[in-house]
Amino acid sequence: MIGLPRHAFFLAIRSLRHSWRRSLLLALVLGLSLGVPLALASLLERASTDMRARAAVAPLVLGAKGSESDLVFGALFFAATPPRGLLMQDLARIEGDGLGQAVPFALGATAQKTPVVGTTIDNFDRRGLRPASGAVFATIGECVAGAEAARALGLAPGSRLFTDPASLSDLAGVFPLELTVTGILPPTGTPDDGVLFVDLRTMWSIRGLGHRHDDPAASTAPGALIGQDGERKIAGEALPIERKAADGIAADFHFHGDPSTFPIDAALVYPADAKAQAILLGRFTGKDETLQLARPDQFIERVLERIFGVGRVLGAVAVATAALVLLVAALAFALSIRLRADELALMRRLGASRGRVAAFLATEAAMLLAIALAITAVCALAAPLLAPVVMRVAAG
Amino acid sequence: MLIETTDLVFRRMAGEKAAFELRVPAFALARGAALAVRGPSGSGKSTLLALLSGELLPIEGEVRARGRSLSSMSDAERRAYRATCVGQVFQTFELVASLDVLENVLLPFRLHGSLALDDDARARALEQLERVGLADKSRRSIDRLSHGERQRVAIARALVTQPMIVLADEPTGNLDPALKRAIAELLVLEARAANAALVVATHDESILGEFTGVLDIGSLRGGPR
Repeated sequence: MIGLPRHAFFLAIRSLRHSWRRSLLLALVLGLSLGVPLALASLLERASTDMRARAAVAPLVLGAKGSESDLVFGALFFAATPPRGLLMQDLARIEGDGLGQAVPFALGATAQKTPVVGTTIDNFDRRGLRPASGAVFATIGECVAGAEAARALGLAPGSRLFTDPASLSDLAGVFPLELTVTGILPPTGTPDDGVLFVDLRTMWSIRGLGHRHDDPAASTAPGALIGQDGERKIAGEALPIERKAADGIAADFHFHGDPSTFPIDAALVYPADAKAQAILLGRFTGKDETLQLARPDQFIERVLERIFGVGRVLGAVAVATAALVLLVAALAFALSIRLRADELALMRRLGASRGRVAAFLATEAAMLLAIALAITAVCALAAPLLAPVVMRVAAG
Repeated sequence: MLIETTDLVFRRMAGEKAAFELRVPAFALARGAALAVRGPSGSGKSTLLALLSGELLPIEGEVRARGRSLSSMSDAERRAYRATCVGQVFQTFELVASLDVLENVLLPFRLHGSLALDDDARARALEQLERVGLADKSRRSIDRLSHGERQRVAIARALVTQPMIVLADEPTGNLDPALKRAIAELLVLEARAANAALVVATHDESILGEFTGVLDIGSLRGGPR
């Protein structure tokens, strides 16, 4: 009996190889039917872990009234556009009486199709984010790249890239601004990996609220100076606008208007304590309130409940399908044995016992199942890689 | 004597009635004997071969191999006898499509624990393939062989275990007339070279001249013919 496993493996491999199309199809059908429910469960588990972890980044999120989903997914996952209407001065309602700290975010720009996120240095300090190489941005036109964004765009400290125009037809609005990479963040497995962080003033400059140009009176461009009101010079449209902030000229950037009235999209709010959190939550519940203060943890739990509800239905369908496929596969295997009745009868006539012939068939079935389980394992292991897709789908 | 039989009776029942009955007079086979079992289709030639291989047991009489009755053996002993002492050739070749020529010849060694698949066995298989003229096709797929070549592979497989008796059931039944004599000659020659007794069931008169003896049997529903 010592040689039985060796002979059984040999004959099983030969048989599977001889009818490799049938074997592969059977293994694929089996593997996928078992793998899909597992992959679904594994995917939802990973997605929920990631989403809960992200929701824990900040206890509260401040934004303009409107879609809570857009606010949370925009502020925490950079995957949606929060409702418009939040201004810098609104942060005073959080920080004015010392109830907490608000870290502003401005979204909506891209550089080589990678999201650009405007924030302040507090975002890094508050969350303990430190570049793996280089340093955090210090002035207008500098950016810190997430690990995945840096890899995809081939960025390193010192690299330069332009932001994308909002649209080709938007000639009077957002113009490209050159960014200089000052640091690369370490991989975190969060949405931070896929974005470029810039200073809030850089984002305002991208939006056209800040710029740099020569003294209109000193410009050689015809029509650069169209008038003068005392000390105030009135620039004409012909005055060239500088879009590069690099090379030590960032300090020449200036903003027209009061920065406290400049728009932001959201703010992560860190209450001083539980009592402060309760007060803040109550502060934004008025009937005529134009802002909202969302609790990301509670919101994400509601989203996950919906996703898992759908997942449970899909899972039940997948399990039922898998059971059916298992039955069909067993029947197909039984049929293939019937088709090989002559071969099995020959083995018996040449002296093989029933047990030995059964061992040959069992080995073949086990090898087929092993291939199917390998496919199942690949499905289950690869599925979590799709977790960001689930997050994007959840964000709408 | 290698094989001895007393008068044999085998009966297959259908309910209470005998659907088929075979009576074979006693005979004996020495090493090198080549016996043709002649009879029309359905006469019981294949049944006689099954009695000689121990697959079936007679209800009267007995088959003795080297003096031991097959009827007195356990199932396991009869399987061991079949694996080690009997070589078999079939009308439809009965080769395994997923194995190549050499692997088919070596198949008996994978089917019973008393046969060791070692270097000697492999050398014997290659030698046997050379003897039947297929040395250069040992790694060829069975699907790519002609009918004559397939039967040669089956003959090599039947002899590779150095059996004491070779049983061939209509070995030329699926071959062209031109090939029948050649295969029958090869079978007789190789069995004699292996010093084995040969029993061939056939209704093909054209190959009877190759054998040292002919046993006529008839199909009986109502007794021997």
